[in-house]
Amino acid sequence: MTRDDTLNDLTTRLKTGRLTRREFVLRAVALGVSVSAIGTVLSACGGDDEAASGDQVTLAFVSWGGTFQEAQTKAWLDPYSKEFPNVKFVQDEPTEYAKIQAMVESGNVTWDAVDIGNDFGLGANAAELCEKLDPAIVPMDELQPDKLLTTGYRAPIHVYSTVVGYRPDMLDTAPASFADFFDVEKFPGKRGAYNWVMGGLLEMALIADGVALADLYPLDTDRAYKKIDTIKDDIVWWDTGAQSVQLLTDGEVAMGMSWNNRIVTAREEGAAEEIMWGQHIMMADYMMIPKGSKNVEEAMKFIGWMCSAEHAADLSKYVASGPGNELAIPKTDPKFLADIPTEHLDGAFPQDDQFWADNYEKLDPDWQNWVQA
Amino acid sequence: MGAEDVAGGTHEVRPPRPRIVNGWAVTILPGFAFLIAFFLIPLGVMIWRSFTDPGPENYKIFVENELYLRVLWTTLRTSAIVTVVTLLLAYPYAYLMLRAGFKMTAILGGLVLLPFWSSILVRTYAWTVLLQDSGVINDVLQRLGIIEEPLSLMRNDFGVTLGMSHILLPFMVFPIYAVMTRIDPDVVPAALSLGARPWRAFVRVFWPLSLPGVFAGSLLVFVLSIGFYITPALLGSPSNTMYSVLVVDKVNRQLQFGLGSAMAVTLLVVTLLLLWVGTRVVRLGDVLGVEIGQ
Repeated sequence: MTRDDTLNDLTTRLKTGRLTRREFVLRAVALGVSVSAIGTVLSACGGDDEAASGDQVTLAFVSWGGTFQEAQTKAWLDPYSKEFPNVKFVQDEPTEYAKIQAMVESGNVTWDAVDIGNDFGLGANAAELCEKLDPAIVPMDELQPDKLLTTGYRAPIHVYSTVVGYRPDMLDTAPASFADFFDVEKFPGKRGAYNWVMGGLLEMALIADGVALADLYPLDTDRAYKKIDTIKDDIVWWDTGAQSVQLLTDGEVAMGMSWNNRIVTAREEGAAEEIMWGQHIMMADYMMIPKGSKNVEEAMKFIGWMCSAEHAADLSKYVASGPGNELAIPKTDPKFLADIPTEHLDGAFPQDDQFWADNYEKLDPDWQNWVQA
Repeated sequence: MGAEDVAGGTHEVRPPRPRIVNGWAVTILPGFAFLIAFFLIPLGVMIWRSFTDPGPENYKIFVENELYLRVLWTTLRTSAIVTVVTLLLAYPYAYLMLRAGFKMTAILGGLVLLPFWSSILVRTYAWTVLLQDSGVINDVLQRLGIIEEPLSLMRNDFGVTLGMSHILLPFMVFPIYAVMTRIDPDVVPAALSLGARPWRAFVRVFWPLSLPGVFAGSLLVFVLSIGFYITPALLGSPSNTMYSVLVVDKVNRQLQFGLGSAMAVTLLVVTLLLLWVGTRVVRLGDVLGVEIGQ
């Protein structure tokens, strides 16, 4: 038998699972096959050490729960399992950053693909807590790197915006910009605002005060607080997404900060709320793989699939969500098209995640002191 | 002491020495092990972490920024107010349960317990529906013409106290009731028959005997209050921000486990200190319902 015949034989057995990768390497080396040839075969086969591709894999998918996670399941998880029957999903919720850190620290990582907000996967904790995403598997350059901070450790899958929602029946004219949010004379009524330093109110205040996007960061917090102080007595603070929408639905506020997909859902259920798309703070949810996950390759394949030009817009069938992949924007489902940030890119102010990663610790106590005064 | 003392005889009848670990005592061990494994050890790890991750300078934040001490004070103050309000509501209620007939007692107990079994979040949102400016109470009062502008019933201390007291009421009612049922029903009539006026009989006889229940209930409500998180956030304004909110942000968002641990340890120490002061003020024996120093 020639060397090539035996190599073919070994390759076939590896592919069908009768040989583990370790055994394959040992036998190929014993044959005298070159290292590069072995490498070529192995990378073509994929899969992990103990099983050839085609073996059952269970991925733990974690997101924020509720209808959003249900939508993600319908849009991505179920179709993926259909296309790759060897991959099954178990789900957990909600995402908690402290849990990720605790898992990585203890070396016992049970989550594989985690949906995180724009405030995670940055700076130092990116390398410590996340697996680096392979650009060959996950199409990183297609994921709008000019607008969304993909640090190499996270991939955007859901583009949304912090917007100003309003009650058309409570106002004479519809608001058109953030400046209108701060104008309680022309637009009387209370204002709903997110009680979180990174919630977007500081950015809104500066933009309303005339600051252009290019000059927005680093944030001039003194100027922002001064601007917000002009309407502070009219602000009703909220802490949860459900509250943000409830304030508008109940008419507690005439205009309120919320997220576009939340307001769309409320509108679908009959609430008389609209979104002011003139200006909005754009951000995204990202997928990441906790460092030390037991299924890194499969998880990365899944994320690559989710972010592909073909599938990135699938979520828009169920939720008012913009795709992370810019090539998928034309594929966005028309159902909620008018209320998706990627259709209103001229008024979009992407939040600078890196600025927040660097300054959150410093700015949060100031915010707390100011908001509690 | 034995039969020999009484009879003066030579029979040696000594009561069996109680063995420290007899069969029944062993049944404590699983619970004990559970407490050590899932409570004491994690507590120890947390205390250790507060001093080593990255170092004891974690505790400096209390000095560097007045935010933390101020919020700690707000938390303790709110918890104290809620404890007192709950006590004022629960004591008469427990007394009513004591004096009522069997069926009435069961109904009263059920009324307090039923909300207890539904989700805290649901109850808190329900209060929102009632209390907010466009809520049920304001709506009714405005339609009746009693008020012009809506009353500010939430996003202030009033809303927070109301919501928290409502949720914590069972924790005060039942310990007090339990102790009240063990008070000898003859002592108050005896006091009255000896010439005491009803109020005096209550203050000098009944109240001191019910004190262990009051203390147990107050302790429970106070400790639960200082950990409250969602209810003050939904029913209060940012000036009602509770300590837990800051700790959770440190741990969950900023991933600073050491700093969060330091904050938690500080809260624990302050609470234990307050309780210790409390036991100096109230006689320990009265509070625990035992004889001390006999």
